[in-house]
Amino acid sequence: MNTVNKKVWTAYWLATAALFAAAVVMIFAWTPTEATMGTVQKVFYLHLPVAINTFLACLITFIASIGYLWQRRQVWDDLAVSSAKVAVLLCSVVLLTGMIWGHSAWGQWWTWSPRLTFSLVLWLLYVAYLVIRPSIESRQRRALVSAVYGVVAFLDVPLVYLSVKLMPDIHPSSIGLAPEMKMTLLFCFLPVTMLAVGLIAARYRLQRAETLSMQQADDPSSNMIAANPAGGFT
Amino acid sequence: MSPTTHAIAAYAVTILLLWGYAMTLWLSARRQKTINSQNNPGRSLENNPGVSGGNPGIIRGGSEPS
Repeated sequence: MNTVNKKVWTAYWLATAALFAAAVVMIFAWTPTEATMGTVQKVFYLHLPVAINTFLACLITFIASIGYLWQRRQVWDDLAVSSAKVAVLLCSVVLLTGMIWGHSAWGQWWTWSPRLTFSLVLWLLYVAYLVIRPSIESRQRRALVSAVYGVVAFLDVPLVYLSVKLMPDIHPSSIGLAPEMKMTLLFCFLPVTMLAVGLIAARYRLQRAETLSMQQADDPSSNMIAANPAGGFT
Repeated sequence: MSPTTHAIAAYAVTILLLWGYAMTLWLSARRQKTINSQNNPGRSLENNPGVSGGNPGIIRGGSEPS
């Protein structure tokens, strides 16, 4: 990483952390408390942006999987797996914060409503994606199987989104918010999206480094050529 | 548990998981960089005596530090 990139990267993470802290302060100090549910409704300002970013991460895996099937380039597979890892993390946050909120608002940790069920299926699909990959030894075959799986797994995302509109569910199909609440919600999308994009980018960089390292280990001659293009270094 | 405790628990879970993962990635990137520079010192700018801006004193064969 060159110095300029490093500085941009550091500034990005500092801005994300600052905006995240500002969002938390805004939620608890400025936004009015909802009359029916009380303080626990404040979970919503993180729950919804994280849920939308889970879909975004799944979409990136889907696009990268199509990219791999089209071009058969390793970079697409690296992007797909990086995004899938972040999708699992974000989906875990959505499920956990939802359960905590549900326990307070509905008096139960879990209920088998369509949206909750499809969300759990989404989490399981992407966990399975990550569990299956190491069991396939050939790098090309692993990338190919993952790409096909990445395309199929994405089919659950529209089901999660549309389930409340198509089937009776414990979640409301539309949300009415006071202007301050709406503003806070919109603001919260900024740090959460920056964090999700930053995590995918960081994971992707690491994945590329690991892939290149493994490729060099498989073929040390390419390493020598890459390290010593002029032939005068040893 | 009160609604406030639930809200705090939800925020704690979110911050711990998301920022914890960010920290893990940062540490892994540092470790990977170290592994790469040990396995292949010629490709790392810091350890490369032949590249402008490289550190001359780390690998054998590099020019002596002034």
